[in-house]
Amino acid sequence: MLAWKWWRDCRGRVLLYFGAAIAIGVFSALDATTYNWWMDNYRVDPQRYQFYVFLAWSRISYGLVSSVLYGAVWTGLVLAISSAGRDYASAGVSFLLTRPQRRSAMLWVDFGFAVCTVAIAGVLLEGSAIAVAARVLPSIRTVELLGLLPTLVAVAAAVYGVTIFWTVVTRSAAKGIELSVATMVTVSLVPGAILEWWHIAWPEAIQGWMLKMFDWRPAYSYWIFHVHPRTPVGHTAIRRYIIYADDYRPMIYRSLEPYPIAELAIWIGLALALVYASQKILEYREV
Amino acid sequence: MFFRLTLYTQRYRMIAYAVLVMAVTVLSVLPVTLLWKNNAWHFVRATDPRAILLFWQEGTARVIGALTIVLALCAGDLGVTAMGDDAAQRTLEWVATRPRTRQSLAWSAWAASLMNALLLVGLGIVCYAAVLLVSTHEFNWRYAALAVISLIVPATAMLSLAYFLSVGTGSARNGYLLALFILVFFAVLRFGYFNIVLKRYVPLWLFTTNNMYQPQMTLTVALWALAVSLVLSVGGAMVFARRNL
Repeated sequence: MLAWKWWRDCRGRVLLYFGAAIAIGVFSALDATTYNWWMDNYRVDPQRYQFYVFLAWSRISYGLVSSVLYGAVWTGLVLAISSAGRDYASAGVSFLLTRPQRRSAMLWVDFGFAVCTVAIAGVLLEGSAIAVAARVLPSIRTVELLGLLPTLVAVAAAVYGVTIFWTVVTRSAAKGIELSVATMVTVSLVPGAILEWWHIAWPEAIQGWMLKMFDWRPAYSYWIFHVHPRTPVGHTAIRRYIIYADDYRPMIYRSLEPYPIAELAIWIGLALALVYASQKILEYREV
Repeated sequence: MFFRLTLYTQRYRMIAYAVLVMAVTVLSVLPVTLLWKNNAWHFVRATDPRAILLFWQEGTARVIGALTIVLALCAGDLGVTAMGDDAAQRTLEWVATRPRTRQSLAWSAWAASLMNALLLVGLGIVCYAAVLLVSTHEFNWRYAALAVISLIVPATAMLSLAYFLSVGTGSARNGYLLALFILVFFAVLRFGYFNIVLKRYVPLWLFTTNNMYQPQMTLTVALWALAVSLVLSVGGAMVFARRNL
C-alpha cells in the first residue's frame, strides 16, 4: 500500500526528474564536444589530439559534477515533502497512521524510493552523457562520472533526512522545508564565516568535511582545472603532468586522488540517523 | 483588520528572526572593530579618518553579505505566511467572508509582511550602525544608505516573489519551494558553471546582468527589482481576488 501511495504521490515529479537527467546528460556531452570542435584539426598529432579528447571528456565530467549536486539537493528536498511530508499539511496523516501498517514503514519506504529515484536519475544522467560522448569522441574516460553516482545518492539522502526530520518535528511540510534550507545554509556557510570574521578555525577535519557539503565532487575532476601543490601521499600515486598549453596560462594536474569513502560513509550515516530519529518521533506521537 | 491578524500570525517567527538578525549583524560587524593582541580581542576606537572610512567600508560590506542571505530566507518565509499558510485553514475562509474586498485583504497581508521584513532590515541597520558608531564616533551616511538600499531591495523582491507564488499555488510549501528554486536558478545563472555554458545558447542578459565583477547593487538594478516586486504583488492580489477558496 505504501509503495503504491508513494508512486501515486510522486510519479509526476519522478518522471520529470528522469527526463531532466537525460536532457542534462545529453546537453552537457553535446556542449563539450561542440565547444572543442577544433580538436579534429590536430588528428595528425596523436599525442596532442589525445590530450584534447581528454580535455573534452573532462569538460563533460566537470560540468556534470559541478552542476548536478544542486539537482541532488533539490530532489532530496522535494521528495521528502512529497509523500510522507505532505500528509502533515493535510488530514491525510490521520488516515495514514491508522492503517494496519507499522509507522516506521511509512518513513523507510518513502526514504527507500527517494534514494532509488536519485540513483536511477544518476544512472540516466551518466548513461546519456556517456552514450552521446561515445558517439562523438574516439575514446572516453568513465572513471570521473562513476564517482559521481554515490556522491549524488549520499547528498540527496542527507538532504532528505534533514527535511523529513524537520517536517516530522514541526508537523508541517512548509516549516520542514524552511528549516532544512536554513540548516543547509548554516552548515555550509557558518564555518567559513567564523574563519573569515573571527579568524577562528574549526578542527581541520570537521571544517573540511562541512565545507564540502555543496562542493563535494571527485577530486580528480577538480585537479584538472585547478593547480594544487600538495603531493599525494599514503598511496601509490601515478602522477601525470600535462601542460595545458592551449590556454593563456599553463596548468598542471595530477590524477588519482582517492575517492572520499569516509565522507561518503558519514553522509549516509547522517541520513540514516535522521530518518531513524524521525521514525522514533513518529512512533511515539499522538495521531 | 487582516493587517493586524497577519502581524499577530507572524509574531513568534518575528521574535526568532529579530534575534537571528541581531546576532548575525553583531557577529559580522564587530570583528571589524576588534584587534587581536596579546592573545585577546581588544575593541578599537578609531580616530584616524582613513581608519574610520575603512571600518565603515568593511563593516558595510560584511553586513550586506551576511544579511542578504539571512533576510532572503526570512523574507521568503514572511511572504509565504502572509496568505499561503492560511490556504488550507479556516482562518482564510472566515477572513474572506468579512465585509472587505479581496483586494484589500491581499494588500493588507502583503503590507504587514513587508512591514515585518522592513523592521528586520531596520533592526540589522541599527545594530550595524551602533557597533561602528561606538568605535568610530562618526556616522557615515553614504555607507549606511548603501547598506539600507542593498538590504531592502533583495528582501522586498524575495518577499513579493514568495507571496505571489504562495497565493498563486494556494500553498505556503509550494510557494516557498518555487521561490527558492527561482532564487537558486538565478544564482546559478549569474555565478554558476552553467553560466559559462548557457550563455553560448541563451541570451542571459534577458535574465541577469551576467557580470559578477560589476557592483551587485546599482540604482538600475534596485529600480528594476522594486518594479518587479510591485508587479508580483499586484499579481498576487489579482490572483487572490479571483481564486475559488
